[in-house]
Amino acid sequence: MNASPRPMLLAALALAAGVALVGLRDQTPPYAPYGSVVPIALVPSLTGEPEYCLTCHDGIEEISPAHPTEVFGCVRCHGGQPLALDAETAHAGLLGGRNPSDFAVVEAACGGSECHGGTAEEGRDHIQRSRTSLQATYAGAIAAVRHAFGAQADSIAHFAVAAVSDPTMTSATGLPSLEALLPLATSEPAQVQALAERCLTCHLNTSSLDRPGFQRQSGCAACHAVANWEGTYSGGDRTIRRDESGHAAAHRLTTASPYSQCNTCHNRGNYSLVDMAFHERTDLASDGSAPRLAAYYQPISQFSACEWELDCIDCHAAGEVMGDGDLHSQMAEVRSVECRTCHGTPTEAPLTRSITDPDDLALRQARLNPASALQLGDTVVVTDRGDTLWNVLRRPEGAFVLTSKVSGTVYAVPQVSGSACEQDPKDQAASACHECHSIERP
Amino acid sequence: MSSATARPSFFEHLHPPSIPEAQARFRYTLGLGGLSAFFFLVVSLSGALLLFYYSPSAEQANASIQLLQYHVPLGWLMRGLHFWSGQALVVTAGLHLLRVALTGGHRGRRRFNWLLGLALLVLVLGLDFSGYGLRWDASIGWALLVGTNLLRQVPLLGEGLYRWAVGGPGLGEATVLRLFGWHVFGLMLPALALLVWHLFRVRRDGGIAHAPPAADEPTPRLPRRELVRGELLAMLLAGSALLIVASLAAPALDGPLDSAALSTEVHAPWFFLWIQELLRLGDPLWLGVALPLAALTLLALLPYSIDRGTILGRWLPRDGRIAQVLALALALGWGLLTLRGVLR
Amino acid sequence: MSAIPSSGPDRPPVLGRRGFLAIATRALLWATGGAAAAAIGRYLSYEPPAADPSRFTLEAPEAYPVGTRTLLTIAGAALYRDVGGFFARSLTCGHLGCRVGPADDGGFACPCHGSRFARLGDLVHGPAPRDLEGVALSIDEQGRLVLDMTSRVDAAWRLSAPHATLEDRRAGAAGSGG
Repeated sequence: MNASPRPMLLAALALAAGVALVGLRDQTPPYAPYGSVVPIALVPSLTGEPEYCLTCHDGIEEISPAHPTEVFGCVRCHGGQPLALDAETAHAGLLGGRNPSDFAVVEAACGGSECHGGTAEEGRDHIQRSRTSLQATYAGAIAAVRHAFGAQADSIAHFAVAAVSDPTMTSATGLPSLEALLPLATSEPAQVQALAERCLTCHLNTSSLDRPGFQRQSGCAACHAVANWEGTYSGGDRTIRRDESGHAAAHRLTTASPYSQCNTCHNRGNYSLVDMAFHERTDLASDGSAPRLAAYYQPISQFSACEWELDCIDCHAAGEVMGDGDLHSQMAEVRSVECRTCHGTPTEAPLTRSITDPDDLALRQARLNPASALQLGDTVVVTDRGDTLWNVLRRPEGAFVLTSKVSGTVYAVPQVSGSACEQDPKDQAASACHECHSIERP
Repeated sequence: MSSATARPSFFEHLHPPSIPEAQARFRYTLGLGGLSAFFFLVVSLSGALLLFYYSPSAEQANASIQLLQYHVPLGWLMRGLHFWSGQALVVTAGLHLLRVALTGGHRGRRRFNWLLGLALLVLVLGLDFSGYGLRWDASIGWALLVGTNLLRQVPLLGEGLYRWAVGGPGLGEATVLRLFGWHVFGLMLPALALLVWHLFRVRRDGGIAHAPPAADEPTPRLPRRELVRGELLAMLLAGSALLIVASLAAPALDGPLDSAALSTEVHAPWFFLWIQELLRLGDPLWLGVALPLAALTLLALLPYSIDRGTILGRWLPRDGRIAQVLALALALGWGLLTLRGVLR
Repeated sequence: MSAIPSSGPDRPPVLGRRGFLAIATRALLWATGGAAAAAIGRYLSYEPPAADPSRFTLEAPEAYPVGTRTLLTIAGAALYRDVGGFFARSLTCGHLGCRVGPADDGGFACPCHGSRFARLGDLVHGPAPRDLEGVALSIDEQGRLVLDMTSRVDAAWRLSAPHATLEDRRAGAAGSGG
């Protein structure tokens, strides 16, 4: 007697169901929700190996014209797994999470002697300079607070936010090393411990407070990846949420950082040594809609017309902002731009130099900025420490013009010599110029 | 295919013309031995297909698995089938061992086959562990280090075993190729040979252990056509289960192993979690080598010295309490240690 | 499985329910088997995208003086420079694909079946049916010569040397492809 065929049929149906499920799974790969069902390959010329990041991240902006996608690809800077097509495996080994310029991983991501980890002579020492700069070490503030509360006798920095050392010192005030300031160091006075606990969020080694107006990334991206007031992303990558703070506005690096980017740390309020707390400024609208004149500086500040019409980086060039490669104790040791740098004094014209070398760093920097028309042979202004302001030219007829790095506007730079200025040539501090030239805010 | 008068097929010929129905009861054997054989077949075939794309070098191993998982058409399926049939094999082999121990199937002339099965289990665990290592990714890095260092602890033979396994003074380039050789050939071939011998011994020892029939009772027999049909049914169901699980759950894959950046979460593969838990308690030689070996020895001696009973063919026979308690205790110990490892 | 009764004038219908289920089962299993075979076929047909082995980056043009022939063993080509510019010949024999090597008379000889070629790759004799193929050259962004082994150009093709120097490219002159 033959057995019923029904069990076999059911088993065959079960197998067919399994096959159908396999087919279904094959047609709906994990990256399908992002739009592309076919993996998108990118073969950068630098590595020659295919990368499939764009399968999900299709639509993301090219990071910058100096880092073309077809040359660099994604993995060279971000790390990760080029062949993988699901998020978890693809992002294994990602350098610095979303931000490969975070100082914990910047050497691996942005370094290399051909890139940003080279020598000072070639002008490729960006990483070394920014890691030792005061914006990264915060050494000045720490030294001042420790000095104020008796933890150290002078104002020379001993501590930084993270331990850093610099064996080659090129300036008179350079330091060989700084230790990390630890919040749990009970040998420190209570106020210094409070500083270590609460006040160390405005430096390049960490990301910012997660509040509107403070939004910036860590590392190089702190200045070079512009964020909006809310810190939301508004670019073309579908995998990045639009309603989340903590993002740069777009996947773009720029050398033309606007004043608003500097103001994610600067001009946000004041510290009080009395209660060791940060008091945010209260004069601004909370939605970031305050006009430039109101937003630029704090209510207590004095400033002249150029100091709010221009952006910060139009005067405070890379040599000051990124540091000179040495560890310093105070801003004053690196700051070199003064009013007279561009405007001169009654008896002296601004210091200048001519660009004669086609490999001149000023030319390379200028080429990154589309507004600049700097040419070989032009004469540019320098500070008395030698920092070049390549956006301030002396025309052949003797007039000085400044091109704003951010807006591209060309300004005539009035000269003190031959004007009605009543300055004391020996007093070149900004406050002296502000006595007459400061602006009243409405 | 074949009617009652047609000649038997190849598959039918692999079986005796008929077997006593008492041997074929599903509730008695739970089909675990057969399922193990099926999973062994699937794991071998899927592994053979994976051979076409997997690259056993330290630089390329992880990348070749990513290629399989994401780019080769249905490569994800081959990998999934290979992984899940392998893990299912370990489970059914272990349960099969427990079933045999609890039904007295290791008694009498079947004692030697019990040893063969035990050796098969050890080889299958070795195959599973070497297979994990072939991923060469960050999550198996520490497990591989610990596992191979544990080999070193074996007295006298330890260093030699370690070198044989790892191919050098430490984990490195040669290790992937070594693991590959062990996985695909060095452990596989003995496993295949033992499997064939194991199945042969089942037949030679009189088939699946069953109570000898009383003199006047009828002894119905199951023709091999029905037996093959039943096996086919089981294979279809197990196969569809494998396909469903492989579609819904992919085996994990981490980035390539980079000794500078090993993950902080360190897990042994699930079937060795019990050893990891033991090793938390102290000396690697006593806890990592001696204790597991002692358990294995006890199991091996089960039909020779520990179990003297004679009743066959039923669950939990009365005359085998000591052996049953031992088997259950070992299983419980394994289970509790593994649970502890899972819950961490 | 079950026997199928033959039909006749007084018999019940040929295919009962059991017979139908049996056939359906068999059909399903065969279909599944076919799908599995097709799947394995698809699986085995994949070819990973190879890193492009056909483009080879050489040195800057100044490294190769006029009148020289440089044998590039990795690329499998010979690089020439004459007054007209740069050109290259593939060292793959047109007969069955062996790599020809330099011969004593300044030309090339194929070791496999004895074909002989002149210094610039013209066929002298041998089972090979044609001269050595010309392959194209270009200049990359850093001013180095690049050989593209998949290209085919005729014997008269040249990459003009005067436009190919690094200095000229820096000064903005466009590199011509010849």
